[in-house]
Amino acid sequence: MNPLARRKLVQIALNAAGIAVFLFAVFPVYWMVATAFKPNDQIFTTSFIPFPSPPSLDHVERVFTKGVGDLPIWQYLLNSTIVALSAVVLGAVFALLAATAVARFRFRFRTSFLILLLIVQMVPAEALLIPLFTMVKRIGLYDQLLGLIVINVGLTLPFSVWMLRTFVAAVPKELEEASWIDGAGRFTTFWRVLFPLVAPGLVATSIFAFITTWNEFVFALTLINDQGKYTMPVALNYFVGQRSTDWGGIMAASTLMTIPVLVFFLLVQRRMVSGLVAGAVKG
Amino acid sequence: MKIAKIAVATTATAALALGLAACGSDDSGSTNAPSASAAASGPKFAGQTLTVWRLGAPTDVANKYMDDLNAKFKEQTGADVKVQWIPWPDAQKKWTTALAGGEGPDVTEFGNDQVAAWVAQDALADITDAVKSDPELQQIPQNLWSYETIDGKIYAVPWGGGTRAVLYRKDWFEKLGIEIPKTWDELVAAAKKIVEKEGKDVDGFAFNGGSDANMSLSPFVWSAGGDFAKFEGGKWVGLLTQPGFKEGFQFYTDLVAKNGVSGKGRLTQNSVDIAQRFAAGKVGMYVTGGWDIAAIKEQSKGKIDESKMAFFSVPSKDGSGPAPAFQGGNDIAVWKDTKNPELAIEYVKLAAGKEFGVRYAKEGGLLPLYPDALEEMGGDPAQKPFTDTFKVARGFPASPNWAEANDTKAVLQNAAREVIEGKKSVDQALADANTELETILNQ
Amino acid sequence: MTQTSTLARGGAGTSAPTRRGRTRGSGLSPKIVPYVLLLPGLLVIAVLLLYPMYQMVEMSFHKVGLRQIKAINPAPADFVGLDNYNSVLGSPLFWSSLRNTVVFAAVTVALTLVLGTLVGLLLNRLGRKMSTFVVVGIMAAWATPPTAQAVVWKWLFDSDSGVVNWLLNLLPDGLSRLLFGRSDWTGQPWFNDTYTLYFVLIVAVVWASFPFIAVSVLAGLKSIPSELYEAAKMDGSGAVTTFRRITFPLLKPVFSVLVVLSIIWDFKVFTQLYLLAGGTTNRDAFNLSLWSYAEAFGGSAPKLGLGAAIAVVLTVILLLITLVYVRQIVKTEDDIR
Repeated sequence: MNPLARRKLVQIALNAAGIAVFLFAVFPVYWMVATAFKPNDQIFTTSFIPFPSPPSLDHVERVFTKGVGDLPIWQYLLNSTIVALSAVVLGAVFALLAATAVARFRFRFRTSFLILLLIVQMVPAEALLIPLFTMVKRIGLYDQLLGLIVINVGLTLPFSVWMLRTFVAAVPKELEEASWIDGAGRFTTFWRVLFPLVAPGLVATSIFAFITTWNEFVFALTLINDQGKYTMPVALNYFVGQRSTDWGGIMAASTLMTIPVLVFFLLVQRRMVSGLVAGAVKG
Repeated sequence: MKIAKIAVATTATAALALGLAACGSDDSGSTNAPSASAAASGPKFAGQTLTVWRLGAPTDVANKYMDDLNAKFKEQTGADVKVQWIPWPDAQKKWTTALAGGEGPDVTEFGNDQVAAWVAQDALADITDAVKSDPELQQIPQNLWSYETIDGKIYAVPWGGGTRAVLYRKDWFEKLGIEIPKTWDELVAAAKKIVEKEGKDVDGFAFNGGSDANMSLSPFVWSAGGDFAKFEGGKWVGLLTQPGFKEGFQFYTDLVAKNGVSGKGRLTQNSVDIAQRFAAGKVGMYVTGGWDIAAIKEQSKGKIDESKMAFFSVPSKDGSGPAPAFQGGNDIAVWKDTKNPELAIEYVKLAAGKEFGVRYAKEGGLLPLYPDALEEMGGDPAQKPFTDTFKVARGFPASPNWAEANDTKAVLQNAAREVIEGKKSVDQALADANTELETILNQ
Repeated sequence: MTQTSTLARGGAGTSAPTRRGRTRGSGLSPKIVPYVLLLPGLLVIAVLLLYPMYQMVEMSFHKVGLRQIKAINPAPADFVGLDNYNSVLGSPLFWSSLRNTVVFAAVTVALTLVLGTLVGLLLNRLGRKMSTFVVVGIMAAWATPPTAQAVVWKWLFDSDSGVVNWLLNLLPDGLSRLLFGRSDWTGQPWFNDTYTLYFVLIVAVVWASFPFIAVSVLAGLKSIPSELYEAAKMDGSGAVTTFRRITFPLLKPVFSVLVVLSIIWDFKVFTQLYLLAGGTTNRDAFNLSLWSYAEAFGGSAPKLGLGAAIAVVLTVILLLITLVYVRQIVKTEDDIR
């Protein structure tokens, strides 16, 4: 087989694998979306129904027109967006600073700090709930989105620091030195040299932080009292009644809730590629 | 915001001191002659706000009810009401943090079987005097206050009642010529016939082994003369190994193990799961409450409606009438940390009083607690099995730890599964369960 | 490994920029700089997490119910010494839950990492459009709210209406019998037995977490200069050799982080198990998280002291498992520098 034909074959095989992965990943998601469009008797059935037939807008319409728990669904989506975006930005800045510290400097308590971050991840959230609640109350952040933002920064920081640390460490020191020699200041060096090279890592951690915050439930439930400040995961529970659950509504709202994550992903993922380009130029 | 709250609290205290003398007299007035009482107590609480927690998601009917109730309350007391809806699955966490944060509701809705647990946590206010002195609340029969009365003190007011009966496929019964079962044997025979004719994947009588399994198990146990536990000599004594309990438990597990009228693959389903299968036409009978008719009609998109399903009371073993079933329902209570107990009590009295109490029950798919309203409801053949059963309804052990044994640790569900799967004999499983139950109740 | 030290790992110590920093007169002593950089993150963690964590540990030595944590008129908490720990370690459920937890985590972490890495490598090789297409697909899986995830998987494995039983029935009878010893899958229950329940749980959790690994690996790959690959190609090394000698060593730090975090997360799986197992009614299926929930937070009279003790035990187990490994990671890096 000539190399050209072989390459083509490999490419076909890779694409086929890509499609297989796509199908595996998407099928359950499809099921969620399909359920959102199934009339009730097709959800609560004992036979296998692959497509909603005919599709019904009952649930989607109900979610949009009647809202969730008497408030429009936009309200919760807006709250969730505010919390998630702020936590991502704040978390990225904090994590990048901390990651630079642990990757570029050797100081006392460095290892302890890294392990401490992991311990924070290990403790079950339920067990922390009450002490954390009283703490948030004491510092006056109870029933405020800001409190939720800060908590989520704390919850996602460990991963972000650990992850970014490897990216920062991977940036050749020589590059920075070259920049120093060119007479650039600390900030310029950071912005022009370090930042583009760690961008892919920053993107990955931002996506992680966004999704984690977006789906966080326990603290969002307990640290917020005013229904107008509820986030989406909390609002979803309005579909669960004392004696029955509105699965159609849950699936419709969940579908709606998945979309902003994909949008956020599409917005930031370019950075992953452009980070590489920028790095290559500098390298 | 903060300042406003403090101001409210201060005026409340002042009002409390000033209004104490008037309190006794306008109790009776408030119910019989609302306009007069409005004049009397109207200005007293004007400008104040009461926070009320309702459970679940607001529906149009529920919103209308709350609006009417709150309008009336304002007319009577001059106070505003802020309603907050707490999703059912989150209620526990919200109450917990309300206690820890010191900022909770003034009045809250409650499941009646939860009252004991929250009283044990010092979360609810003692409202004995107010309840005893209110002639209207006294019309609620005394046997319905068992959950609310702890050590002789009353901590909540029953708001709406519920009990369980057997929901069955009327159309199948007619088609297959099955009579409504009057004894356990007839029940099993009917279930077997359904499985035989409607298909092996159909549950003739669905076994409930999920979170609310005891609601389904208890009628059989009680009917056989057994019970779960009794409070004796200062501690709880398990009764699971007594012959009555064993007989009911054996019958219940045999539904699956011996008679095969419920699928072995679904041992952990609860009544919500079963209702979904019922809506899909895969269940002939199961134990549940009246609310499921509406839910099933909705879930089956009307394919299974009132013409195809109805209730009958769980039969006793020998056919001597309805077996006792669980007396469930929702309560309304005053939160102990409230800054305005007097106003909160007024609210409870109005909400659980005859007019709004009966409305709450009827509109929420529950049974009214006032005897004449219940009697009236019994005239409806669809409701008769419930009103009949409700008269002999009983409660689970009124221990703050019952909830843990009931569904968190699921003592009897696990015992039943071990028996059905052949891992333990009935005697062994019940002996073990009894030990565990006693440990949990007496901790 | 030789490449590691010569390649982009770079980072020859800490001296250069710092020393220059001082000459440039930023006014900060190089000794202080790292602490300043850590400050914001540390502040958040210390105030919001460390202090509550300390309180949690303290709780674990007391008998704490809601009465004790009330904001208004709290009751004093009784000191009970190690009682809570004794009842945790003395419970027969502890050992079965621990077994479930460990086996589940081991299998899931391995599967997630392998699948995630393969997909990450694949994404790096695909054309731009195809890559975006696949990545959006796996992002959708990751982004699905946990409740919806668990419920959808529960439906897919439903004994009557599930796709899985339907698909298994589609297999030719002979093949199905050869593979599984049976041909009829109608009504096969998946959620009764602990083994099959955990099988579904593993599928569900791997499905939800491999995208995270894939995206992280992809990010790592994107930061590897392409010159290295070109050089390897010129040396004539094959795909496997290239992976072993260039990709893997360069991604190793990222892998280490992913392994440790995956272990931690899979140890604590809760929502999916809770929903798949139908609450707490099947105690054979408990893992440590579900058990601690049932024990301490499930009832309406939460035993917070006991719950805290379980949380401490869980944390200690995790620490023991990961500590050796973590120290090694931190250490090797220091040595390389």
